Amino acid sequence: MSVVKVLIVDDEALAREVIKAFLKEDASVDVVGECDNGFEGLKAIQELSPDIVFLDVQMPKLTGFELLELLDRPPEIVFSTAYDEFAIKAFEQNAVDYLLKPYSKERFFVALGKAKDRVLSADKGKTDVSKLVSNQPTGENRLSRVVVKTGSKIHIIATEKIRYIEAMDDYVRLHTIEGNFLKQNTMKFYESQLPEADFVRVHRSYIVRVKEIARLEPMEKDSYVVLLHDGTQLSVSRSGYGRLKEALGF
Amino acid sequence: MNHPILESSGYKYYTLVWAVICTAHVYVLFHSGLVIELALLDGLVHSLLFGTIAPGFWYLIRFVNVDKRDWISLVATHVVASLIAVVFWVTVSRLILTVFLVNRPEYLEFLQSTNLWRMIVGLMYYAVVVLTFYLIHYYLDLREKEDNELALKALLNESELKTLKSQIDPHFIFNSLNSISALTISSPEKAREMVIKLSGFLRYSIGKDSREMNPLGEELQHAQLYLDIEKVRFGEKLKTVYEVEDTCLNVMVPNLILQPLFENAIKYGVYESMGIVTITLSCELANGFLALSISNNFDPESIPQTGEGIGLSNIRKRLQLVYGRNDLLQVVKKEDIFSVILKFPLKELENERS
Repeated sequence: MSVVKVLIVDDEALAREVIKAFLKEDASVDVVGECDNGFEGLKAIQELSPDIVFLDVQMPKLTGFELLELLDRPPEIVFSTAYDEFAIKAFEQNAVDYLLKPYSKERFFVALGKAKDRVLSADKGKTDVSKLVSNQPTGENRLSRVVVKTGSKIHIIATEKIRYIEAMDDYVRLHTIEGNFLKQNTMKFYESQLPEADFVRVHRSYIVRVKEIARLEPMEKDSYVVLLHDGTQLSVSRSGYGRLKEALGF
Repeated sequence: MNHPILESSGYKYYTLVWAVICTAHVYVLFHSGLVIELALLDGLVHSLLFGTIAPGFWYLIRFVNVDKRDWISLVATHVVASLIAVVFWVTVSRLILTVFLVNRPEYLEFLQSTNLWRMIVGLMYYAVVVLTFYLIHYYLDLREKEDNELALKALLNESELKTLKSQIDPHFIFNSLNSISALTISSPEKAREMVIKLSGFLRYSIGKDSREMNPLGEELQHAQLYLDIEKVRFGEKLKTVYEVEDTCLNVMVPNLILQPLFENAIKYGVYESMGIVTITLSCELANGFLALSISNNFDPESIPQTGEGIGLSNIRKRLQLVYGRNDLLQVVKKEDIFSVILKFPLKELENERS
């Protein structure tokens, strides 16, 4: 039996202790590292390529979800968090498992077993990242930041800095004050997750920050364009016009 | 609504008023040529009788309410009631006086000749009594409504205060339990210590609902429990500094009002930063206030995962409710230091205590 490489990412030393103590009882796993924040976790995943990662959700710099978003080929992820506010039910179908702190040894080994099965099976049922991420909290807990990767650099962008978002096939292009970034995600995700009062989906291909809009001009009959403060012109669809009307109150 | 004469202290004034009316009555009769003992008897009998039946009009005005705006039935009722009352009054008075003074025919003749005048005076009495009763009724009604409104407001304030009070953060509870779970493996001694601290914290948080104000000393002990537990979780990463003057410790402050501030310091300081975070608490008495400041350093580059909590605005609202002022909370963000300064007026605090 080959050794399974495990990485532990949690900002609390004691939380890592528990996992390490439990893992000692399984000779087939090897703890290759432990990290106390999201950045280090990302680096360690890339450098050590672990098979299984025990990942905390709440961490400084980068949350567990955000870390997962930045991985091209994520390892098997077992999330752990203290409190059920991340729509866990929907989650469990996608992540290998989801541990609620504090958890029992039995529960822990159930999760580990599931993860090991996936690692060792020929057909590696990959965690569907986009699906996972779109299960982030909805409603009151709107997105306040977005993480993107350009090369090896990671940018954490506050949603206030996003000017508009453009659809690009499987990607979206985030036009921000700090530059433009490509990110693998859907328009639908941003439409539902960005703060409702600040952004409007004006077109199938555009979500615009309301404050960026300078003017709304008629194009041909029945169609409009929005002019942003920097001169950018974006088409407005009929339903987008309705939403704009509501957001701007005219 | 109580009867203004029979059920409260109004009877003293009522008796006094009738004594004055009786004197006037006697004076008028005496002046018009009646001998003093006859004038006295006449005045006494009439005043006593009217004075006795008049309190009954109260029940009448309670039934015939002005508010209902049915003017016809209102006027009709009072016309009928006043006629019955006055005829009864004049007739019974004359009967009594006739029994007493059967051997003074010249007086009885006088009594007979003044019948019309007595009727008119009776109607006047009736009008004055009923109008006075309406005024009193209106006034009592108004006061009752005011009282109800005040009571309702107090009730509303109370429930509002309850909702503004900080709830125990579930993250904190479950993370602490997880730490305890870890400690049971490596050092059971520390696990026990933490269980005791967590119990102390929970007991205070859950049990203090009934008392609105607590001494600052107790509140700080509670906060220290909280921070001690967080220190076990975050180790070297969390440092605390207390600069508290002893004189502050007995000042009463709204219960658990500091808790959200410490939670914020942990949430926006410790959770978001990778370096050491120091939480500093200082307080002093100055210019009639207890000034208390809680500050922490934070990573200015971090973008909080969640927006500004409702903690601060809740504290502001609560201070507004308790002290009626909205200038008691101040937030200062300077470079990498975040501070919240709370001011508790001492004068109101003393009133609260007494």
